[in-house]
Amino acid sequence: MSEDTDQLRRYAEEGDQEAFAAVVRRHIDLVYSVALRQLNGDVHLATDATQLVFTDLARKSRALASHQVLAGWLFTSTRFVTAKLVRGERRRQAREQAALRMEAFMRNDAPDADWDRLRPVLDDALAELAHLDREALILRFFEGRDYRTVGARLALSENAARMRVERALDKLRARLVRRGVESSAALLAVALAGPAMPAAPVGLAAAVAGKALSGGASAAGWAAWTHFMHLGNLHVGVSGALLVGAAAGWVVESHDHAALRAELVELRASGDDLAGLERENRRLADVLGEAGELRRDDAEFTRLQEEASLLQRRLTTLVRAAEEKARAAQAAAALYSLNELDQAPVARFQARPQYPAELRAAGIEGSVVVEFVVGTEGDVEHARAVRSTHPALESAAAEAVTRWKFKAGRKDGRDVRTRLQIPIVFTVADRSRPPAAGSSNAESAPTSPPFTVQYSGSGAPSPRP
Amino acid sequence: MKLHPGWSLALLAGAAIFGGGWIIQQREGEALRAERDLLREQRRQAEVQRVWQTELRSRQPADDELARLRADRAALERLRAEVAASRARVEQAESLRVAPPVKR
Repeated sequence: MSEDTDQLRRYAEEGDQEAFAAVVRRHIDLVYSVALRQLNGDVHLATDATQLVFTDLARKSRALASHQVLAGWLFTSTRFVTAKLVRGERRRQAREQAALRMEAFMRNDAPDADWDRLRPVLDDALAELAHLDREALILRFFEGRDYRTVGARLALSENAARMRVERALDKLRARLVRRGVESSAALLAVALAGPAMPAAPVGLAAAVAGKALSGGASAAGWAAWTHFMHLGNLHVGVSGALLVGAAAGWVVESHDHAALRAELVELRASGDDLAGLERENRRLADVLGEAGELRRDDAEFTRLQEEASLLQRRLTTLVRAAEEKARAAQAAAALYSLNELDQAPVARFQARPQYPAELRAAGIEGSVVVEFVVGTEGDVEHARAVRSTHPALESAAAEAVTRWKFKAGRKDGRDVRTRLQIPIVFTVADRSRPPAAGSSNAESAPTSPPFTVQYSGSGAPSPRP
Repeated sequence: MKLHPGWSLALLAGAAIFGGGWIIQQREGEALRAERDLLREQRRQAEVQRVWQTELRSRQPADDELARLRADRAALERLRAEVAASRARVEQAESLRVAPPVKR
């Protein structure tokens, strides 16, 4: 068991900080030199990288306690850490600035021309070697171990360790040749043993050990925190950004809340009685709806009123017409005599009575007074013989008068019924003489001139008023 | 720049405090915004109701007109009956008018 293994185990299992500090002191020059080369001589970044590597070692101490060659792990870990640090714009700028400082550093401490060409490519070439070769070279040249110690670390005999170192040196030289660096194995050994392993700044080991121990002694979370703490500017920036961001969010939210509360106060103060408004609107809508129905009813009411008025007028007209008709009927039913009329009836057609053949053959003449009514239409109604000289003449006279037509008599501008009497004289032509009018009813004088019916022996009778 | 871990811790603690306060404020803000949105919606609805109320009031009948309309409705049934009776009388009168005269 090597010293590294033993001390790491003691640290991991027993918290022996002195043991861890011994490990740091033993390897810090290796880590620092690799970091310094990888970071082009930026001593600040190299210091940060060294701290990170040992912090990581403390965190992984339990797992690495069984690692036989810790220097190999430290070399690889340093390369990873420095590669991370190199990335980024700030690191590039820092590297550019550090290049100037590196020049001064190399001018003072490594004037060797071989080292000038070797420095930029050495670590890459070392990284390409198999881990046993790389560890053999690191132990031999970077840490300055003798072959016996190298053999013990690599589980080899002293001679085997020497052979391993020499073959590794040849392989390294071949890789350097491919990169354009020509050098003999002897010169390469001298270069590796010299400036390739600059000493870490005084006090760095103590600081790194202290910080690594302060972080790596307890839990992994604390180790991560320590890791974060040692990021330098990064952790300050992140912490500050978190604080500023949180504070800004808090302030913005507070401002927003103030505005919200003010708006809420205003909204509450406006006191919109939404329920009251809705209730009142429902009432108004109900009234409006009722008014609409009432207006429709009112339209019907108005229409019915108009219809009632029209019906009333129509009814009045009809009643008046009926009354007028009744009056007319009454007037028509009344009988007037000739002397009561304004205008007497005028005969328009008078049919000749038929002279009874036996009376005519016998030469019997006579007269008949016929009484009749001339209606409002001019027709003859109720014709009857009121007197006659011979009863056989009465029916012929009445029958003929019944067919007569008149223009009705008029009274007060209306046609009226008129009672008339007219004598009808039956004479034979060759014995023409005036009829004995009124012989049968002397007290009732005819109202019209006699209507004479005279017959010749064979000719047709001709009326003669 | 290196900062003592204590200060860094203080920075993070401050960030945590402010962040926690900010989260609480966020929740409170959500409640406030919800109430604000509700009140805004109520205000908007109230505005709509007011506009509608103005429209309804402009269409409302006058009190005397409403009273007249209600009275007319009450009289409507009576008028309907009267009109029906009038129609019957007119029809009867019409039938009498067009009836053939009685033969004497």
